[in-house]
Amino acid sequence: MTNKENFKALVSKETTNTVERNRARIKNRSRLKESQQIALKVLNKLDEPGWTQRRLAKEMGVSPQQITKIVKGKENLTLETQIKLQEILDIPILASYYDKMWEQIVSDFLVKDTKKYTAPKNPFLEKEDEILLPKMEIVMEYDASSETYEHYKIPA
Amino acid sequence: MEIVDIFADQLFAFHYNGEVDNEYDRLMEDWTDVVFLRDYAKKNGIAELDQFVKDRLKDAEDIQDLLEEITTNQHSLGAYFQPFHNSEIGFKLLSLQKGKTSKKDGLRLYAIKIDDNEFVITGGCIKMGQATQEHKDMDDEVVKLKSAQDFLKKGGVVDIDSFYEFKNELQ
Repeated sequence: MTNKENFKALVSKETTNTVERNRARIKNRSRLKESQQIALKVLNKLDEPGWTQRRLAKEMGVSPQQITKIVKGKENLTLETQIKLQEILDIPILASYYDKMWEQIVSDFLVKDTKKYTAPKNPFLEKEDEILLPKMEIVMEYDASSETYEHYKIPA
Repeated sequence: MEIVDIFADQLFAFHYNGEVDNEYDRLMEDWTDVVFLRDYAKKNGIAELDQFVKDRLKDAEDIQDLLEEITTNQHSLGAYFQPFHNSEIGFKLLSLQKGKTSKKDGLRLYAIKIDDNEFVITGGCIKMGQATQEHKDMDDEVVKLKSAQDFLKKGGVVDIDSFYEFKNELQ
């Protein structure tokens, strides 16, 4: 028998589903990536003092085995599970986390400020004090997050 | 210990005693497991845990794509493997390699060449540049390679003098 034939004789008659499993991983890649990202966030949070997988399981009302599965990053997480993870661990998972945070930022930094308005110097006038517009005060709302003045009004 | 056929009498893998899966599936399960990768990074004193995990997950995806490519195209399997010399074992390793040869870190699948278009995967590891864990992992791989070699010799498969490393870029 040749080397090749001897080798073939050693190969198990059982068939594998390796190629199919590999194909399934590729097909589910987008979902798996999300699961992996969530798993990383959960694990990073669980590294903080006071957190354990057991405590998380208890607060979520699931078994510790379920948490073990989640942190491997292979589970197809339901929306309900994602919301629980986000709220209990206070980690960003869904877009609602950022929506909420953005609302918070805008309201925290929205301030009213009063500034004096001085009309620009008119280059066609020789004397500086001979401006056409009178000086006046306006109220502007300054959004610190976008560094823009969004509204103004002339005080009565 | 047994050898299983992964693809069309061309690509095979060892299935070691006590393991649930053959070496390709076993390694791919580990390399897509966030806990496994993160623990590995911690044990090796890697500071950027998240980045390490993300990089290895990407490496695993590249290898998955490569296996899919092998099963769907007409290239010879030899195009995917490259010799890798390991002085400890005293012979050349052939491995399925992720990334360019200059890349220090990455995932490695090792294989024995049976014929021009026949390879059997013996194992694999996370290659870690100069990290100490690399030696331990490599030691484990050497043990497996030797047991695989013995298994083949007992079965009358002789002249197994070269092992290969899977590469992800065709020359």
